[in-house]
Amino acid sequence: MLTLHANRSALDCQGTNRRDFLRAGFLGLGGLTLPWLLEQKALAAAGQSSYVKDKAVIMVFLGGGASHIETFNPNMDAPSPYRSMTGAVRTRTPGVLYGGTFPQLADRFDKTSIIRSFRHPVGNHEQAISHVLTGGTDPNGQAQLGFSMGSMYSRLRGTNHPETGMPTYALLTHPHSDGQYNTEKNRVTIGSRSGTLGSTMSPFNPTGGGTALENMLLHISPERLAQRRDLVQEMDRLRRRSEARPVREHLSEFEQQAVDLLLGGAGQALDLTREPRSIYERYDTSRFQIGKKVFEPSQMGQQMLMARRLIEAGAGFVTVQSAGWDMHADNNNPGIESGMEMLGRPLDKALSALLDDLEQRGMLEKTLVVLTGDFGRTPTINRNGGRDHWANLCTLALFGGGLKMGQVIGQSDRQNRAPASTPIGPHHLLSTIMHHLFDVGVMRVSRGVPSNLLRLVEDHRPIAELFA
Amino acid sequence: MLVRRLPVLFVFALAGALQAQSLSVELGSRKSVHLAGRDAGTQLIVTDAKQRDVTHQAKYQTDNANVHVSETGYVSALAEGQATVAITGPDGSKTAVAVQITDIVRDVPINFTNEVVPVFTRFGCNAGGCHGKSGGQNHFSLSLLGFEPQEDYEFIIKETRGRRIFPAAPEQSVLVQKATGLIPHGGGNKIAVDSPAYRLMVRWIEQGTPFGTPADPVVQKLEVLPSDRLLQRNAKQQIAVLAHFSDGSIRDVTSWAQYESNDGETAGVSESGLVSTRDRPGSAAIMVRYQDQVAAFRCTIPLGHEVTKLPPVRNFIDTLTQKQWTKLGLPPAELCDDATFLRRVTLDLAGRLPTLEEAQAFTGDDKRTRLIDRLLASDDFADFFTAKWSAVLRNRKSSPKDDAKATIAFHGWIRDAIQKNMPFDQFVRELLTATGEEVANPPVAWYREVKDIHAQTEDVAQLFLGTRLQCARCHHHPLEKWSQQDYYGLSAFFSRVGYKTPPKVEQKKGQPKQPIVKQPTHVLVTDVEASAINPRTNLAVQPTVLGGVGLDIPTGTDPRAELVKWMTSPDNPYFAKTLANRVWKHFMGRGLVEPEDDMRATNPPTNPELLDALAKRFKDSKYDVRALIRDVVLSSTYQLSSDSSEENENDRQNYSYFRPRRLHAEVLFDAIDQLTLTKPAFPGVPAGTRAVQLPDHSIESYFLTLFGRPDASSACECERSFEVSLPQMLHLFNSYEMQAKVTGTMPKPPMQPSKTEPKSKTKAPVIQPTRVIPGDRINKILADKRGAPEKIRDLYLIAYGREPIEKELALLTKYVTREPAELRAAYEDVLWAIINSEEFLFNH
Repeated sequence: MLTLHANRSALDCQGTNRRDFLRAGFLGLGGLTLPWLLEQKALAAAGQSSYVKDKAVIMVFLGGGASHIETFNPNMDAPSPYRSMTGAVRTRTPGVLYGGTFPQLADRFDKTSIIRSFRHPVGNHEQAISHVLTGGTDPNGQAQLGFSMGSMYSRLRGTNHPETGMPTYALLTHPHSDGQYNTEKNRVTIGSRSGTLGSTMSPFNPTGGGTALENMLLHISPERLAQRRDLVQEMDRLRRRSEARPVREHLSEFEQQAVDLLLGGAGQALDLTREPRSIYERYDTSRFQIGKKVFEPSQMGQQMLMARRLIEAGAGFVTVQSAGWDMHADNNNPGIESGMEMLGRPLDKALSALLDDLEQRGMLEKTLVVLTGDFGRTPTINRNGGRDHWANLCTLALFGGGLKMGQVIGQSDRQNRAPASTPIGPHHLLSTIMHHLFDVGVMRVSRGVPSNLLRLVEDHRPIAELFA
Repeated sequence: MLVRRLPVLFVFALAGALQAQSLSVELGSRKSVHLAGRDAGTQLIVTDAKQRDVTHQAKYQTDNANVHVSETGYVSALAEGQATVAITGPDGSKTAVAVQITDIVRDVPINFTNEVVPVFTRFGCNAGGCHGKSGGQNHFSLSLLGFEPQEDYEFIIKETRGRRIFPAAPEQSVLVQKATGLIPHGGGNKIAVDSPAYRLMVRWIEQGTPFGTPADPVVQKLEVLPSDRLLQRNAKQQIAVLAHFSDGSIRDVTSWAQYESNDGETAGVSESGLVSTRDRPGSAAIMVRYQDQVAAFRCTIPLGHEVTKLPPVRNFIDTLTQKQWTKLGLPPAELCDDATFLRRVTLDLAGRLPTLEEAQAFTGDDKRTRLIDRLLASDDFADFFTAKWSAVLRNRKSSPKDDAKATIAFHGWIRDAIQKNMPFDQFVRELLTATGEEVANPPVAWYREVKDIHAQTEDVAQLFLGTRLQCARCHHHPLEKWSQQDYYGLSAFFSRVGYKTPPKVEQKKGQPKQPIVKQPTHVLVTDVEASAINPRTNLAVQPTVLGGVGLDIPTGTDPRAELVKWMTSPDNPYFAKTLANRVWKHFMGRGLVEPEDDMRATNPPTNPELLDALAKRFKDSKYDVRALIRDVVLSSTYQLSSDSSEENENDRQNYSYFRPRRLHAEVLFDAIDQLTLTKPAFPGVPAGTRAVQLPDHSIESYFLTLFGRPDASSACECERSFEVSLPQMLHLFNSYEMQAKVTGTMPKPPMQPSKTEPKSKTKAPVIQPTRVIPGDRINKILADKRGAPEKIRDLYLIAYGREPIEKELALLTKYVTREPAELRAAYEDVLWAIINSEEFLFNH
């Protein structure tokens, strides 16, 4: 672990005074220490991070399991239960239709690749979410094995951006008013876990509630933080005893991350009020009320905007959590028609805003947006007008990322029940994402890459059509 | 030549076995090895003279082709008759074992329950994540872990018009083809073609898929070979499992059983029963499951150092821990110094830092004992332990409509009980048999939050019997002997709990709507029949204590009283142990059984004698909790230093040194307030109420949530988290809350709206307001006319309960004195640094 005072031989508890502390701290940021620190980090990272590409992923996770039919596979030639209940809208490509609540996304089909043969074997929410978000490394979703794809990225990339200190893996959730929505949020949190990779690879969740956001904006001068940190390290050093090491290990790692983050100014990135009004409003979905028992304004737009700002500030894998897609038409959930109207519209607005904004900033080539959820929904309709869980065909669409877009990959059968072409599973998604984020060829010959992670990337082929 | 050599070898091997006892084969309760039936086999366990397992290193040779022995010592039957397996150990020593093989020519009918179902269990087909979950997987369901063979049989044979089985060509059956992956199978290729499991399934279909007869034997118990053993670190031990059947036959089921370690960091186990110890000393249990039976293999892993220096024996606890250390060769740390002890015991007993006065006055003879007694009698002790019990008793307002008075009253009742040291049996009796209205009889609040009969059953089992019964609600407990019958037997004790429903207020037309006021919870005892329905059998179950027989409870009596009577009777095997283990964990950081509320045969205590002794002491004292606590904190074991040595630093189970732990969320909050002289103000409680004293776990505080305060939404102690995380560090480093406490001034309002703020009607990201309260310590310091060293000495005593060492004093004195113009800033920095120092955040 690199520390701020590590190279200052002048720091001697007998011979320093406050002025020395001040000067050292000031130099630390103004002249000597920070560049040195960065350089050290660069050197330390050189051995293993040359495989890191300047790429990013935004994973939009529709918790509850969005219908594959009413999103990107409306199947309008089929008879009633097997076709979209919300109708369909045309894209500019003849023959490619979207579900009826996605007119703006349909206009952006040229930036989209739809996967119509995505499936996995898990039909329960919590388990399916873990299974998908871990890219299949949690085979049955019991949360005993595996780790999220974001944590894997964090492990391979490094937990914090070397310059800004921004955690490389973030999860955007927020407390909901509706109990059911909170349950769904918690499931996504479990699915986003670092699991067997260790807790330092956990996602950073700045919008999880409380004062997490404002804590990231440094309230004192950077020099003063550096001095304080020097002081506490010196105090710890004087007292250091032969206590069992593991107790201390994580603490100092997190302390270092916190300092990096505060000094890197990454917190500014999270202040949405810095965004020009026109952009903010382009994203804003707060006029859509969502919920079942208790309603709240949709925050999807704000989350997407936050995701973009996080990527700009150095994050490389951001998961955006959305809840309410479990459209059974029962006590806790609306049916398909009303549900898609309620949640599909804000998604349409927010996601198309994100795609436009990324493109205008020249970030779309770099950023791959992944849209998926727990699973798809039954091709048949239950007696209340809902669709139930269906993992045999799931929702998956990819946007941008400099990959080949404007295509439909894979086929479903006539009744939207199962893949009619070679099925694509979470393992393939993991491999696709990792190939997008990393230069796997270089990774293979880099030292320090855990062999099990490399195997995960290589064991399954990435979705070939995207890399054509 | 060949003909001549074989008998020679045979004779030689037998002779070897007779002569040298150096190599031995564990037969367990079998007199000889008998393999009955096709595909029968047995795992040999070979042990050398030094009691080391050499099963995988030994060489095996057979005198004929009737059996095959693998390199790992697994003997498979091939042909009817006799065989002798000659075994040569790695050191050249020899032994032999005779094997008798029968029932190969005559194919005995397969028993579905005893043979086919274990295949599904072994390969995970009926696991909870696959076909075993309710509703099955892709339309094929099996009972979870094969606990309901009759159902499994019907699922396989009868469902989907019998398409799963194809008697005309057994290998072509869907069941077999899926399992082997010959046709696409989401679960993958589980069973290899022509493996024993494959042959068994095919043979079963060939035989016409028999289920078996009621006269067929059933498995009665498991025997693990060896049952326990002393192992070295980083060593391996093969284990074998024998199933004893009701007809007296014994069958080796090593390759069909499932294995699980209770402490994977100490010892792991493979699918074939090969145990591997890690780098840690201690003990571990390997749970073995076959059908509905469980058994355990226990291994003890000594460190093997010479233990010469032992701390003084203060009471029975030390005798038993020292016995363990000596047995394991694990040298313990020395006793901690007085200052460390003062801070440790005050944090653990009173949930706060020692005060300046306490730190200064901690001198004289017998001071540790006097301190313990004073703290045990203090209000702070009651506050702290009330917070602990209040969480697991789920004392919270779960909806805004709930009456806060009831929550406060229940909190007060718990506190009262702790303060006057109510015997624990009485505490449980008054809690569980509560009737009446919530504020008038406070423990009724437990029934307000724990409303349904399942939650009542499960909470009681977990809280007071240390048993997690949740699994048995829907299926047989996978790690325990408890079935649904046991679950609903316990449930039945709560079947007469009734809730008084308030009369419905008629809504008259034209009148303004009455606001809905939630009526107070009122618990009464109804006179319905005391029983619960077991959904599996659909039959009523009488109230039955765990492992007991059904009770006939006459109308007009409260079955709960019978339950409590059983729980608190001196021969109850669970009650006293559960509390003793909870108390132990609070002070020692790790339960003798871990997790502390999951006690079962397959998760044994790391020091069984000690747990028994603690439980006995607790029973003998008529359930005096405070006396038990006193024994624990008086022991040398609790008072060991946190300095580990190279020898014992890997120890996690045997308390050979005190493992530092982060302060509890509430304690840390209060400690920071104590240091910075901040008067807390939580919403809805009188100003000055400390975090430890909060009567309701739903009172909002970002700090407390962040640092892992339990939610009080379940009976599990595991809700409390001691983890360290990045947002915690950011909060301590840089929150307005901390800034105000340190600087004594209100910081600028958080998140000043900037000019570019969008004029949207809703706010940007939700930020809950936190109460930012300035602390007063900084002003006190500046007003103090004494010199810097005296002031720093005081700060050290307050924060760490000790005097600073010379170097520390020099460092800080210099830091604060050289720049008179920035005195305030310098002391702010010092306060900040203390809060963020390792010594402050942890209890050492």
